[in-house]
Amino acid sequence: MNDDDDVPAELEKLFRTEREIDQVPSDAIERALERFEKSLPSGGGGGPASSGGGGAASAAGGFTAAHIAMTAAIAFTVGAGVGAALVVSLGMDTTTPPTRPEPVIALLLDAGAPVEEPALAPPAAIDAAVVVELAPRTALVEPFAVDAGVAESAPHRIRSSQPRANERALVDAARFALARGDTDAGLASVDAHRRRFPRGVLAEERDATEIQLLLRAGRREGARERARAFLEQYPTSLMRGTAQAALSGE
Amino acid sequence: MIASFDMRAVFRAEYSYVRRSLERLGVRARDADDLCQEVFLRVHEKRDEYDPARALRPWLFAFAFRVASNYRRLARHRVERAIGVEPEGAAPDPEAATAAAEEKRLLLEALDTLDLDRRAVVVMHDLDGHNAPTIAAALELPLNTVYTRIREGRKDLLAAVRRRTGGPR
Repeated sequence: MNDDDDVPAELEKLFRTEREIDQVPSDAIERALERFEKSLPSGGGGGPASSGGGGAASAAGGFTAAHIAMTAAIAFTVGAGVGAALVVSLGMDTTTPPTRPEPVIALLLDAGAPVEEPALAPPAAIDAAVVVELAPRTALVEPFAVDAGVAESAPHRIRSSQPRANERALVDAARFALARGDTDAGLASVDAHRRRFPRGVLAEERDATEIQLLLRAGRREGARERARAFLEQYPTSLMRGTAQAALSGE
Repeated sequence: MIASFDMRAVFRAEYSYVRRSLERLGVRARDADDLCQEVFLRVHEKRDEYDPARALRPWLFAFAFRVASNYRRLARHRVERAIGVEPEGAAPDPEAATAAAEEKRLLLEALDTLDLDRRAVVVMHDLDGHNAPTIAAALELPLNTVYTRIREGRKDLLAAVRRRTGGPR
């Protein structure tokens, strides 16, 4: 087949109009770029957005195992509606553009007990993430109280930094809900994740997303409480800017 | 691997393209900016893998495709067509601008009727102007699949346009 011929005239006319991409105003792009750079977990300092690539360069730009785990987690995965049950079609290897079909699974958000993550042998180097085990939280509006002493003394273990696909689905659902301003759905996804994966690989990202959702919903006090707890629980988090922003209004 | 990937330059130069690609793939205009952020975060993460010997836009489009794919899987996104497709800049000829906006709206509505796989290939081929081998490489598809999707996608698209304009079926 010659892919360049056989374009019906009716379509060609529409294509011609649409091919001209309306440029986003430059000031809007600059604002978007500023937002983008702020969202980078390395938090500026010359800005990884302006720095070169390469593994060493990435590390120098502030990328840590936690960041890699987080970004892998928020990568493209699945769509998920929030409800008693839903079907999600799993995405591919998330951040890699080329695509491959993946299986379809049924994910029961509210079914069963929280999933225990299997204790895995420490993966090599940067793929390992040390997590602090804390008791699961269940209520969205409860103060997010974390006893620093408990956190200090809690057992540590090494686990895989790679989240399970359905765990990613829930966090992605929360993030996409945030993107479209549907805070109820987003918080429901956060709650579902917390029930099902109380100590999931993506707990940190879940908690950061929850702060953003609460802020977007106008629940400032709840956001501040979550933010304080977040900073206690993840004092060196690459997402601590989210929590600090929530507290900045105090 | 490349020694340097100027993320800011790419962001500035390709933001409009990525944003429009997302809309062409079914993302509502009001969500497009947020999803652009997602796309560029992914790009930033994978910038080391960019091969400068290959065109940038197909590579970026593949990221947009993945983000749009996830977005569209949420049932609530499948219903409503994008709003705000009008050009953002001031147009010298209001009538022409209105007609162009109407044509863009019509095309996006018709694209909405295609499944995302066909849609992505038609967008890359007929709007972005990439040839089939480039599309096959970017989306990691067999070449024949790309050709099939172009052909079938156009057929579906034409039918959708005609349903909306009252043209011959």
